[in-house]
Amino acid sequence: MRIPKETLWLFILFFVQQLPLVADWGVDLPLIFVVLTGVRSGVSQAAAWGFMTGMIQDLLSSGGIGINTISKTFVGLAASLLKMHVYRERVLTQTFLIMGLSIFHEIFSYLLMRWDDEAPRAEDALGICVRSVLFTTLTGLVVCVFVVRFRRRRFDPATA
Amino acid sequence: MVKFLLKNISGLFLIFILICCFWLLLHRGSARFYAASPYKTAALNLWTPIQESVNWLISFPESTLNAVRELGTLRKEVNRLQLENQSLHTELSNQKSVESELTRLKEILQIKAKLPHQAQIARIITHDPSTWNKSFVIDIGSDDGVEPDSSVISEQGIVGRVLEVDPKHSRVLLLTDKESSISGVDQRSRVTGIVQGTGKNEFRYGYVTAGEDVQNDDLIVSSGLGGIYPKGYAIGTVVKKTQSENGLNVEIEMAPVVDFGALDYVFVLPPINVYE
Repeated sequence: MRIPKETLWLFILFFVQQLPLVADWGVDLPLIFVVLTGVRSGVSQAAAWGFMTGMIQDLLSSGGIGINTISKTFVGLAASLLKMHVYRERVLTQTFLIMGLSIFHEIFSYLLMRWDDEAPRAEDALGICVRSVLFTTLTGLVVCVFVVRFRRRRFDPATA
Repeated sequence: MVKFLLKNISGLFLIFILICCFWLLLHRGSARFYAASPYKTAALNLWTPIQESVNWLISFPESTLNAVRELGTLRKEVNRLQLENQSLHTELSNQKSVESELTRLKEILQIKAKLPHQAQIARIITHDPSTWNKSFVIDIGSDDGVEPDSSVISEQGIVGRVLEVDPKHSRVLLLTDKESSISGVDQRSRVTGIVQGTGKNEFRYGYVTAGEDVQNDDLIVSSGLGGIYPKGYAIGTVVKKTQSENGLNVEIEMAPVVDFGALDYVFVLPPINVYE
């Protein structure tokens, strides 16, 4: 039963995401979740997780509904498609994937906001993007270390 | 002579002693023979270490035996005291946290009493999960009389305005959000402008023409224009001033006076039309 376990994770991460420190740093925990779920799921499942996560994020946020939903759906899709080209149980691979998709997510969100005429000025947007990508990547690195260690131990044939 | 001395050594020694006694008898009233005299101090300094060493040598076997005997009891006592210490530490920490909460609440009530308008105290529940938006949710809503566009302040200055309301909660849009703007005035020179949120932890003071008297460290306060925010509350301080590309305006960056990351309680004022 995968879905309840991941729903629990989703609940926990949104609880953490809304703490003042995390909000202040600009860490995007839902994005890390979508990427890590994406590399372990099929394309449609990954897109569904991305859509759901983005939708919840939009619903809990003061911004308009859609930006995170659309962007995270694409992030989920991309992560799932990229899993065929990357070895997923490596910290470095996953961290780079998180960084790349975080950059994609921020640029995509900015373009969507520009389209809606809601975007901040370019220099402000750059500051927000850089901060968010940096802290999301660093947090992603920490999360990946735990995820990879845990999964390797769990599926290690020598200890199984 | 030597033979004589050797033969009568005991007698001579006795004579020497008697002379000493006589000498002492003559000088017994002198201060040199009382406590703290140099002789006594010298004697004490010489003797005490010897005495201590001897005492230690005598008491060592006994104390070792006692220590061995008491070791078991002491270990039990240490364990008991450690447990007691831990529980006292926990109790103290709880006490401190309650005390600090109490102090904070007292401060908040004092500030509330000083506010010119009927304010409501609200606790911040969650922050915005999106990286592009700046808002938080507070624990009072329409049931408590909160309305959209009510201004939200802290003891430091203006925090933002109520964006949406449900019966039990409200969402507050922070001044730092890219969608926020407020009419401000330089407290020193009275130059007016529009303070705009940037999405980061800073503001931009816009619509100020070049040559206006705005200097670094000037405090910008709310002007009361715009119908949302009350007049005279602090917004931020000027940190950087640059000429715009067309040369007509100046670009002013401001640092907020409110530490948005450290907020736990805020005050919600009624909409401005209620009291003006």
